[in-house]
Amino acid sequence: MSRALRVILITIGVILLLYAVYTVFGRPAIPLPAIRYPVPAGQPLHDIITATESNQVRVTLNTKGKLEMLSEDDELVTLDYTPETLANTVDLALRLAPGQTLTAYQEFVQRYPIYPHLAKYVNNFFYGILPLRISVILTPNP
Amino acid sequence: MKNKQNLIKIIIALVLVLGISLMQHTPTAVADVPLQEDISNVIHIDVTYDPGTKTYSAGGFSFEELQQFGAPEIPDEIWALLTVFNNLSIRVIGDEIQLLTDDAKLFSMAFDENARQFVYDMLNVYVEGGRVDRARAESWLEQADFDFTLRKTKAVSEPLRIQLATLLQVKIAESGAISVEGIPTGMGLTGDTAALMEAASIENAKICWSKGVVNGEVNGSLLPQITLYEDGVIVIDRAFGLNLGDLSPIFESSFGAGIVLGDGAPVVGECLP
Repeated sequence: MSRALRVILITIGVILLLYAVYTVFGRPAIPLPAIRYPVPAGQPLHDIITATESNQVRVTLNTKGKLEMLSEDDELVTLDYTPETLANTVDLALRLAPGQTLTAYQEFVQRYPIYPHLAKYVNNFFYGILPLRISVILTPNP
Repeated sequence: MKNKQNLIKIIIALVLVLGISLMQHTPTAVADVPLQEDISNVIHIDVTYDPGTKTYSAGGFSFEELQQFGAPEIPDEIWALLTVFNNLSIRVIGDEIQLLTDDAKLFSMAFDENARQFVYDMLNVYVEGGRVDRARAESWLEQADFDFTLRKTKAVSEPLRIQLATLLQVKIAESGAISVEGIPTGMGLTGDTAALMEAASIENAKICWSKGVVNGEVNGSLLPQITLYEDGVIVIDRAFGLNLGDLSPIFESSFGAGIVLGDGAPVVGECLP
């Protein structure tokens, strides 16, 4: 057996071992560094941020199926989704989107028929196999 | 060398065992849905009034808040009548209507088929351009527990309590006109919105509100569950100056609607808490 093959097998083994441990712990979402985004004045989101007591809003997406909007420790709104309900929402949004959005999307899918399957796979991967937690901290830009 | 071969064998075995066990592990979720054996509709409306200041409060809203919603002033003749009573309650329980004053039963009336028919006929005369769907009305009454109290006090009334498992049937005509349970509301969608919904092939939708939790379906397809928190709505209210007033009554209520567009299929089912 070649050295390269051994290295690959050992790497796969270590990855699977780590993933097994991760699974035993209930596969918690892996937090990514929060992104700060100052919202310019004049936008509705700016008005919402300044209406909170903390003067900042944290939007957290847990790809395990939860989107939260928080102000300090207070929850403002939560959205719980599954891959199925998310796909239904995207489908509905496309149909209700103004202009030629739906037609443009359909043309895009005709050109790249793998796209819907790829999007579904990526969604399922981050929902069920490797959930991530992405946070955006919104602050008012004076 | 032999040690290395053994190590590789162990790793391969480990990979196979873990790989198979992970592949066979399917993510599962146990829905925490409480079982409800008796689906019922509860409507409790509390009204307080003060003949001294000629003000009243209903459903937890103060007189000032009600005036903002366009609530009318009560004529003097009604005030004169109300002064006589301290407490008045009307209860519709099953096939009986009870009128109680100061906790003593004033009279009760059988709300049988003939009485109900009389009420439906009266409503049909009153409602312009619509007819009460008798089957739907019977279905509502069968499962409804209606309680209306009128109290002479300066205190603000108790919050409105609405727990409706039965869906309110809302119909949006092709012209955009909205009717609820066959009764025209006088409101409607704009032509653009109605056309957009038709272009999107939306036939029906089901929306259930239960103390801030919103569940929805469009054309039978489930949408994500949205949870609104009272603090969150207060922030939106403050941000846009909506003057929504006291939100606790709505955050203590549960109700739902089955919305049908044009000739779309009717929405079936209930809203479970």
